[in-house]
Amino acid sequence: MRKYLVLFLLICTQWGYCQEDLFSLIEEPEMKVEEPVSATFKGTKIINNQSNEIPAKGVLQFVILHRFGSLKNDFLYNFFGLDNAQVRFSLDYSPLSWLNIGVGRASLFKMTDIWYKAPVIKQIKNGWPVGITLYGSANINGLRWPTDGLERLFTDRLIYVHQILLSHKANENFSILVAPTLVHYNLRQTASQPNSLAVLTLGGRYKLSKRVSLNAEYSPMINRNTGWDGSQSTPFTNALSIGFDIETGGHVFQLHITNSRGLSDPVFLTQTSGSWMDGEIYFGFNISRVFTVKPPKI
Amino acid sequence: MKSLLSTIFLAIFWLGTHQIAQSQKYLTRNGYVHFKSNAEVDDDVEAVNRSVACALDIQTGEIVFNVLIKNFTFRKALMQEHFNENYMESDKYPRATYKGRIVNLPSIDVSKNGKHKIKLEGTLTIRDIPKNRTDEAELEIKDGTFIITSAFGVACADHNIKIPKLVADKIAEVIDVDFRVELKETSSK
Repeated sequence: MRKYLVLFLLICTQWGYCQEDLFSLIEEPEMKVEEPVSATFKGTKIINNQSNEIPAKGVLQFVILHRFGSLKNDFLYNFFGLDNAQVRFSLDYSPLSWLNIGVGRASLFKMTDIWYKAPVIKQIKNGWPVGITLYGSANINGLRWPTDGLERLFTDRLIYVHQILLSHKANENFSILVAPTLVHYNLRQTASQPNSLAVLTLGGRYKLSKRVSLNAEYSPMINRNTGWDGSQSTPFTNALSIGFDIETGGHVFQLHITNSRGLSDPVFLTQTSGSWMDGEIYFGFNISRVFTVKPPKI
Repeated sequence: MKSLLSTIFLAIFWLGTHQIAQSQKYLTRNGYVHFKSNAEVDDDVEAVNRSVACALDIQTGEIVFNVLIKNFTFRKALMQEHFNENYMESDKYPRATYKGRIVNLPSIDVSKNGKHKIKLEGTLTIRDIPKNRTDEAELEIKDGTFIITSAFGVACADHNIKIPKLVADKIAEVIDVDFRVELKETSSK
């Protein structure tokens, strides 16, 4: 009798096994997949500085950036600073999943720039903690040379910026970025000005909701840019910017206040003229729009 | 002697059920699921997942699906990011599942090739929110392969997928979904 019972139980377990185990057949294998962290920042820029993000492969991005006049300078007369707006347009494209190249033009110093940005190492979910992105830009000062009879070369117009963007998405809402930066001027404006300046950019974002985040960045100069006139010791201040990202479909709107008027890399990194203390703050916005040029096959 | 015989008989019977149980299951790991939002304004909200897992027990008619949300590919990369990040929250809810039954499978002769209308009853779970539903599908039996296709609608509201007002005209309230799975017999272990 006991044998019957044992066999009956065996059969029951066998049936039980078939009954509940169907789903286990199609569960993902327990293998740990190395999944890169996505959306560390909403935009390719935090505010002025680059974030670690690039548009996906085959995507073209157009960004319009504005910085209005100072809050101090006849604020209402200048229609909230709009009358004194600084503008930058940029167009970039990602030919590869790890490479973005772009070109931009800013009105301050009539600066044209070309850049590359390469997220070479990505942060891995529950794994490697840091995203490492290389960024470099060559900036061409487009102002006419003064008519002082001195001979100047085209290369004298060039300013280079090199950055290593170290990013970390701590959780769903909070991301930080640290970027050791080197700015090199081929031509110094004054003898007292260094050719190469080191800057350490610190940036971060906190998501307030699914589509809105609070961003901030601070770019202290390690060695001072003494400015156009050697007699002035530190006419340039460190750029500090605070703003919001608002994400809608294919756009990211970035609204912010900053003490930097310049929109090209060397200008906001090393030639920020405004001072938060003195109310020399500028309202500004970045708007990006992406176009999928080469859609992936689905 | 009698008890020995019956023990052997039962042992064979048990092994038999074991064999049957193994051979009743049909499975795929590269099923196809496609969805499209046919909204007022066409914004190409459309994606495909070609690594859907599905299993069918032809004895009981039980059918299950496992769909990894991250495996949906869009034409627009940013849309894919927003889909994962804002709408489906795929880090929190990595998969959609369906557990159900083909109600009229017992009335179908599964040993013969042919096409049949089938009725599915079960629970679709998206974002951890289960929704009981009944759907029509088509089953084609072709040389031991079970091909199931269907098209149905999934209401965003059923699974608490919130659509912001700003894009309300670009995303339909009911998303049109279709799938195709080719289930093959599992090799018995």
